[in-house]
Parts: sequence; C-alpha cells; structure tokens
Amino acid sequence: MIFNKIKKILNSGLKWILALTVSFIILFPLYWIFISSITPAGELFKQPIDYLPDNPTISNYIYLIYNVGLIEKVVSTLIIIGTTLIIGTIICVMASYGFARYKSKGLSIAFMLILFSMLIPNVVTARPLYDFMRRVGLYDTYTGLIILYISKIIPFTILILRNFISEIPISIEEAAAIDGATFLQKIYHIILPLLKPAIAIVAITNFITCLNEFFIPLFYANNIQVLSTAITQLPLKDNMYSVPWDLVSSMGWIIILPIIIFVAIFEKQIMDGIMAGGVKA
Amino acid sequence: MKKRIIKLLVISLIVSFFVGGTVLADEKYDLTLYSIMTTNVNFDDWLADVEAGTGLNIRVIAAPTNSDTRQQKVTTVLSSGDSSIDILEINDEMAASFKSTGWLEPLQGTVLTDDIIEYFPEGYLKDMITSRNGDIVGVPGYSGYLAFWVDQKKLDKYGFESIDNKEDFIAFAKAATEDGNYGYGGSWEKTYVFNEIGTFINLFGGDYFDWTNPANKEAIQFMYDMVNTWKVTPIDQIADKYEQMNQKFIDGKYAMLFMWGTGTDYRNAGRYGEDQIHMALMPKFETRSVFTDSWSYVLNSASRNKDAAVKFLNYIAGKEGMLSAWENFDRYPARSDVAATLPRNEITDMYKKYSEETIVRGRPMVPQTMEFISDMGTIFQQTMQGKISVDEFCEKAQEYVDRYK
Repeated sequence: MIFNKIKKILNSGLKWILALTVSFIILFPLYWIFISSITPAGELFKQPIDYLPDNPTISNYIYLIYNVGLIEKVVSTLIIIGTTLIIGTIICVMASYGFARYKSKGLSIAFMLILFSMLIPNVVTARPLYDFMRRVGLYDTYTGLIILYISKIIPFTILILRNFISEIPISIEEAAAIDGATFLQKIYHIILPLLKPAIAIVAITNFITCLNEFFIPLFYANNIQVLSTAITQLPLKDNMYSVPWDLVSSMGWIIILPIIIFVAIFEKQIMDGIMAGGVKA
Repeated sequence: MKKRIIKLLVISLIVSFFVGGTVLADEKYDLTLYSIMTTNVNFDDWLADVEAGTGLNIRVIAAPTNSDTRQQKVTTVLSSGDSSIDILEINDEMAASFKSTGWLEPLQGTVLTDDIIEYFPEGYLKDMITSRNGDIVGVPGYSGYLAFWVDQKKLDKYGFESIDNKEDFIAFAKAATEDGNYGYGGSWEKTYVFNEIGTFINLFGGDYFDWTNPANKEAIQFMYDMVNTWKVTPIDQIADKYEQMNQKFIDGKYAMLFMWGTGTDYRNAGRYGEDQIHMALMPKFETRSVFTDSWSYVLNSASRNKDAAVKFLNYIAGKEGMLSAWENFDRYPARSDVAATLPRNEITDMYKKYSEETIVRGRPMVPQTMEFISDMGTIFQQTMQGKISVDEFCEKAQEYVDRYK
C-alpha cells in the first residue's frame, strides 16, 4: 500500500520534472529573445550574463516601426495571408471533394503527386520558378506571391480535408440527390456545413504556415515585404560584419509573438488537424 | 449582415488578387538601386543628396543584410539576366564571385576614368574588383580597414608607449597576459578567422595563395605560438565572432586586437578614447600591411537604364557622392583626395596614416568564397588545437587554394 503510494508520488514527481525541463528548454530561448530585445546593444554580451537587463529599453521597437517599416510589412502580410487562405481553401475544398468521392487510377496518382510535392525543397525549384515568374509578369506582385503561398498550403490542406470528407457518409448526399439537389447544391448545403470544423483547423494551421513562410517572399519579391523576411533587412553596424543582435531579437520577438498567441489559443484544433491528416492518409 | 460582410471581403480580396500584379508597375523611375543601407536612419537624406546631385528619380529595393541570403538572391538576379535592378551594392565576397562572370558592366571607360582612378586604393581595385580580363566592375563606396586596436590603460599599466614591431607585439602580449586576461584577442570562429590569418600573413610578408612561401608558415606558427607556447591568447576564442571578441575587449580581457570599423561598440560602451580603447597604427613585422574592405556599386549588364546608371555611378565616384556617404553613413571615402578634405579627428588622422604608411590590400578571395573561407577556418582551428601540425595546415591550405582559385 505504502509502496504503491510512494510509486505514485515518484511517478507524479518525475512527470513534473520532465514537464518543467521540457518547458524550460522551450521557454528559455523565448525569454532570452525578449530580454535581448529590451537590452541596450552595449550590454548584450556582458559577462557575467545579466538575466535581467539593468537598463531596459524599447528603443529597438521604436526603431523598427519608424525605420524598418513594420506597419507596412504587417499590412502586406495580412493582405497576402488573407487572400491565400480564402482562395486556397476554396480550391482545396473542391479538390478534396474530388479526391474523396471519385476513385480512379489517375486521381490516385494526382493525389500522390500533390503529397510528394511537399517533399521537394524550395531551393530546388527556386531558379526555374524565378525565371518563370519574371516571364509571366508575376514576380514581385501580390498575385504572384499569393499563387505561391497557395501552392505551399495545398498539399497539407487537401490531405486534411480529403480525410474529413471521406468520413462524411455518402448516403447523406444520395438522399439530397433524391430530393433534387444539384452537384453544387450538395457541396454548398451539405458538405460545406459539415466541413466547418475541418476548415477552421486548416485555416489556423495555414495561417501559421503562411506567417512563418520565409523563402517565398524573400526570393520572389523585392518591393513587397512581409513580416517574416524583415529580419534580413536590419541595418548593419559600422563595420558591416557585426550583426545588430538587439534589433534582430526585437524583430524576432515581433515575428514569433503572434504565432505563440495563436498556437496557445488554438492548440487543440491544431493537434486535431495534424492527427486527422496523419492517421488517415 | 454578417454573410454580406464576408462576401464583400471575399470579393475584395479576390479582386486585389487579380489586380495586384499591376499595382507596382505604375510609378516610373530612371533606375533601380538594390541597397543594404535602406534601413539606416540617414538613408533618406543620402538618397535625397543623390537624387539632387544626379537629377535622377531612383527606386530603391532593400537587400537582405544576412550574407548567405543576400548572395543567393543577388546571384539569381544577375545570373538570370534580370533587368529590373540596375545598380547593386555588393561586398567583397560577392565581388570575388561575380567579377569575372560577365554579369557586371565594365566601368573603366565610363566611370572610373584615368583622371580619378589614381585616387582609389590600387591594391583594393586590383585584388577585389578587377576581372580576369582587366575590367574594373565596381565603384568602391568607402574604405574600411581591419585596423589595429589597443587598450591604452594596458599599455600604460605595462609600460609600453606603442606597439610598433613584432618584438613589441610579443612583449606586450606576454606582459598583458595575467589574472585571466590575455595580451591578444581574436574572433577565431571558422569563417571569421579568415581575416586574421590573412592579416598575419601580410605582416610576415607572405602570400595567402602560395603556401610554399615560408612567410606563410611563419605566420601560422606565430599564431600557434600565441595560443600554445606563449599562451597569450585563449583557444576558446575559436567559438567567438566579432560580438563576443568586442565584448571581451571592452571588459578588459584583451589588450589588443584587429577589428573593422571606427569603434562604435567601444563608444557605446563608454570605452573609446585616447586613454581607453583606440585605433593604433599597424605594427611592422616584416611589412606594415593592412586589409581594406568596401562595398562597391556595380552595374548589372542586363540593365536597360545604363545611361542613368552611369550618371549615378559618376556621382558616387565623385567628391559629392563620397562626402555624402561620409556624412550620412560615416563611411570613410575610398578616394584619397576626398579623404584629405575631411575635418581632422583621431579617426580621420589614423585612416590617413594607414593609407600613407601601410601597404593596403584587398582580401584574398576566390569565386567560391564562402567554401574556401570555411575550409581554411576548419583546418586553422584544428592546427591551433594541436590536431594537425603547422606543416599539415600549409599542405592542406595549398590544396584548397588549388581547388578553389
């Protein structure tokens, strides 16, 4: 009896130690980025290390707003991500319906190809795609960027939505068809309402994916600048070789803060979405 | 109502998606400049100077300040024949990679004419921005030196007036090594140490591209001795970049080192001055040599606005352009005649001394710059840790020169 109680306490203690260790490993870098962002540049590499700055400052954040065009970058980011999510979701719902409801060898191959495209590193396609975007006049345009962002979210979204649609009994659609519903009516009145939770999940996940996207805006745009690439455009110091770590930390914090908040709020939905895609593929 | 708002939002976003492509093309410009300085607080003032001085309407694109990303992007722009950017600001690493590719327009006939070229540092022009065919492909935007910095407090403490030669250097390094402090400090992270290896080779009169030269071996042996024989510099600096090295210098852990720039970090830390940390003339070992660096303005061969671009480059290479860069960006003019007109202070005086009394050289770079630098740094660290001998280092270094050059 006592042995079981001790075992239970030990187990519980171990769990807590493990949880605290993992939390520390995850949270300490975030804390460090934040602390660095409010520490004056001359004190960043002080030894012994100051875990709380003596002279905290928000001057880095003010600099980012006035000199690095933070607000403009946020607006561009929202335009691109908003449009991507709306158009991308419409395309993916239609494609997922096709993949879930119609069976043929060609469709299976197409589905596999879409999933396979997730495995191709950006850098492999960068140069030919760069030339293509220039030739068709889509380089450095919102249209071009949105197309590329959509292409980025398509595989994962289709994977998730297809599995959700497969779970919806076809008999519901058949019943609607008997009642005279057309193809589009079935999609709009039956499938879409049932897909709402799944759409919410992919919208959340894709929002984070788009916010994190670095390569596409960096490589296929010059004038249009988004939040994720801003970290590459911070001013060098007087010798051109030293990195402005104070500004880098501030910008890093601005980039990761919305993601942290978003993940904290929608953690359950995100996990559900990942599980749905992973288990049923 | 809610549905109507959502519909309106969807429609407006879709419309923006289809018209978005045309928005950027509306404004007309004479040329497009790709610059790393756009987020500098004085960039707009500098641009206003340039536009007033040239009469050009210039579109500006911000280049990534992260070196790997920037090099990847600029390589793509130039190699693809992309004409949307006319003028690019490139560093020495990019200049080494691009100067003989044909992607950059030769400037000796139009911008760097005989009457002004003599005012630019000859060693830099030859080493860094002259192609194999002899074309000069860039206008240096400034001159920076990998200068010698000393802590005056330590000089006073150990009774040294100045560090003028190799003997002074060694004696001071040994004297200042006590109580956990070191005489010499370096940033020997594998990609940063490249500059210091080259500096010592130059001081010993060697040639970075010829590792059969005994002076090269002498230089590496000297660095080895500093770590292992005299123990005047710590081996753990193989993890340090400039930020860590500077902080240690500020904290009094080092007595002297080599560093770029004009001492902003030391000023910010309240450690700059004649009685504190300050720039000194390079000591003379076999030679009194110093590396110079710059960012150069180059003209994209595919540009469709070459006349405007030449006008821009003429301004940059001219007195007004050099002075504007000095006033706005604190960049020391690459032209000696313009530098001579600057108001005197301890920095301009010392830079003048460097240009007059030292052998000024561009850094030894090859087309595959980063790979070369990284490989050399790796074997250097192995040597300092005693994993390979100095002789083995020289053999491997020659192999890398043969492979990459």
